[in-house]
Amino acid sequence: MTTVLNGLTLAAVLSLVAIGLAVIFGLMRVINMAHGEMFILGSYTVVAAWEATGNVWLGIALAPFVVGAIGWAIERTMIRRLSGRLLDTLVATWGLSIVIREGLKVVFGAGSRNLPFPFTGDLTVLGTRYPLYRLFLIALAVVVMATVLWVFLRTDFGWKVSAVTQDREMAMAMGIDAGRIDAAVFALGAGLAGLAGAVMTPLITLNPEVGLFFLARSFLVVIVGGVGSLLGTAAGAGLIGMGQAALAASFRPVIAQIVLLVLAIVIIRLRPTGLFGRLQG
Amino acid sequence: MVRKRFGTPLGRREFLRRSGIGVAAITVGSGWLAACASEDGGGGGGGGGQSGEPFKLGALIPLTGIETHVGQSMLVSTEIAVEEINAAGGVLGRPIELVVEDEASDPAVAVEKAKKLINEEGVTFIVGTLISAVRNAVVEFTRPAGVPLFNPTYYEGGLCGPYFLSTGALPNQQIDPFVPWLVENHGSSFYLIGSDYVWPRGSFAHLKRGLEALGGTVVGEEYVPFGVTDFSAEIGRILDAKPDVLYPLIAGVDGITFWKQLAGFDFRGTRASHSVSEAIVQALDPETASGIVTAAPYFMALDNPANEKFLETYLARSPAKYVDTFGEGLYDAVHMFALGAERAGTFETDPLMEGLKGVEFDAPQGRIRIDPATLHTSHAFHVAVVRGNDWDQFEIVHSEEGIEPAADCGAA
Repeated sequence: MTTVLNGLTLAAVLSLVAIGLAVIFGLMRVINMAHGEMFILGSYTVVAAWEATGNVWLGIALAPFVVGAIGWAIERTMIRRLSGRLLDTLVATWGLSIVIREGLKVVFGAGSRNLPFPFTGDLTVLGTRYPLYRLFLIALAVVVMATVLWVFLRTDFGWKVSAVTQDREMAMAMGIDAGRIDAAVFALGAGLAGLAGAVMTPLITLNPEVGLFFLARSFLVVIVGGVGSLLGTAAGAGLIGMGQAALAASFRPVIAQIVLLVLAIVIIRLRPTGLFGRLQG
Repeated sequence: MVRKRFGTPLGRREFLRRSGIGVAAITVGSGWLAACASEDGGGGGGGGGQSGEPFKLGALIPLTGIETHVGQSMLVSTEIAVEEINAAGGVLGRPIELVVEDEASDPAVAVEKAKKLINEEGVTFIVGTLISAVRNAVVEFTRPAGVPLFNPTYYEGGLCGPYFLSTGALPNQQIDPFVPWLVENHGSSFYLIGSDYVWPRGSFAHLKRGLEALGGTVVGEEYVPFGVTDFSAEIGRILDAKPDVLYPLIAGVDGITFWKQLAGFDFRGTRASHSVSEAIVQALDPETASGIVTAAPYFMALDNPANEKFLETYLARSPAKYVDTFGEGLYDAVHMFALGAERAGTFETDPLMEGLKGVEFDAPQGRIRIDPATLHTSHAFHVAVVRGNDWDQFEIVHSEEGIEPAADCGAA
């Protein structure tokens, strides 16, 4: 039972991080190599708020907006100038990730930070005592995924995004400001990563390098789940998270990692577009 | 002269040191000002300098990487030792000039920095290194180069030879006395979890021998890679195994993550590890830290005159406000280097190492002595129960003095 809950926690964290990457790549065709840095910017927002006020919740509440604003600025100043050039945006965001990482070292120091949990305690779930904060992460991930799906499938904004993604010129001809949609999507993706970083902060030992780990994991989730599909991201996160928990419960961690990556390769070989992929070929 | 990392505290500090104007270590004794002004970074350095000219001592300290939480305390401890020596007139009439490089807890980086210290700065002695992977890599370079490395940290043993000296504890000075104490006070079934490299593996091999001799059992033993961010699977196995004693040796900041994540789960056994120090504890909640049992040659909470003097200087200036056995080990290493040089009457490498044999020093941990056969020091041994998350909340519950080193030199 603990293994199932562990898997759900991992899946929750992965989906929170990966959904932002999926949104940006699926809708804008931009591979954001600075996504891991959006994650740690969220974490450092919590650190800064905590050091100023001693309140962890404040930082968690602020992080998606702060990082979303940073994402918006990045799109306005950098991404849009490279629009449609996949490799160029890849290299540019990679460079940006280095700048942000080293910038954080200058501002916060290269050392590691540790923050307290906003609440502690455990709850008995189906006969197993499990930390409350991890249960909170699972619930939060469900709420966030549902909200994101709702936004893209049921709101006016979501329809406009679909329109721009499917036929940019026609959408513009119909009076949709595609540039603003791009900026909003990028800000949303960054903000989601910021939120993920913020809620993960109490669980990890934070330093400016942590983002790289989460970037790699997010790519795995997005690719396995299927590029361009939000539901696929949820499925990918669930598969990888549960898979890792199940494998780690019975194998050495190194073996579990290897098996997991082999599984991912097999899935991509059998279904090149991922579990829910709708890309051609 | 401008360093790449300027803007960070480290960069400023190193910039000042290297530019030769703000070097606290040198300006402490005003008599050295003239020497300082005439010193001009050239290739000179090392052993063959003239009287009055600073003697360059190399230091490899993990200021970045997985051991950043202790880097500053190690740096400050080293600086304090150098300042004390210089304030008392230096060594053989010459002040010590510290040349610090960041070894980043990365063996490849550390070897490059060691090369830089030796080839560019011309140093002939190096203090420092922390994790075993770095130490082993650096020794492979410094030993053939004939440059002694003074290791300040506990390690698994096996490094010997004329150009390696250790002021860190060996397993027989830290693990061997700790295991019987744990078995007697907390039970005999152990769960061992460590980072996947030589230090946890070597230390656990030692621990298991001691535990088996006492009839204890190991109910779980596993190794995790560096950079783990989620320990829930491992913690699940630990909860299932229900050991009396959980003994993690997870390196650096990963270890802090482990304690934090374990705190959320319902573990009822004793948490013990000789790797838990003042630097680890201050990163944890008081509730999380409370109850962890640890053992080391040195704790800040020790009550003796040498420690009182060391802490008075340390706490007055350190930005970090805590130091642990690594910093104390460096402080001892620098002081013993100076004593060895005075005794040998020269900075020449071989006679100086000869002079170090049998040197005694009133360290903050208590009186220690360099064993002439192995060049490892004797150590005090203390068990502490952590009662909060600050250094003065370590309750010392058991102490032994003067444990001689068993460096296991045959294994090298």
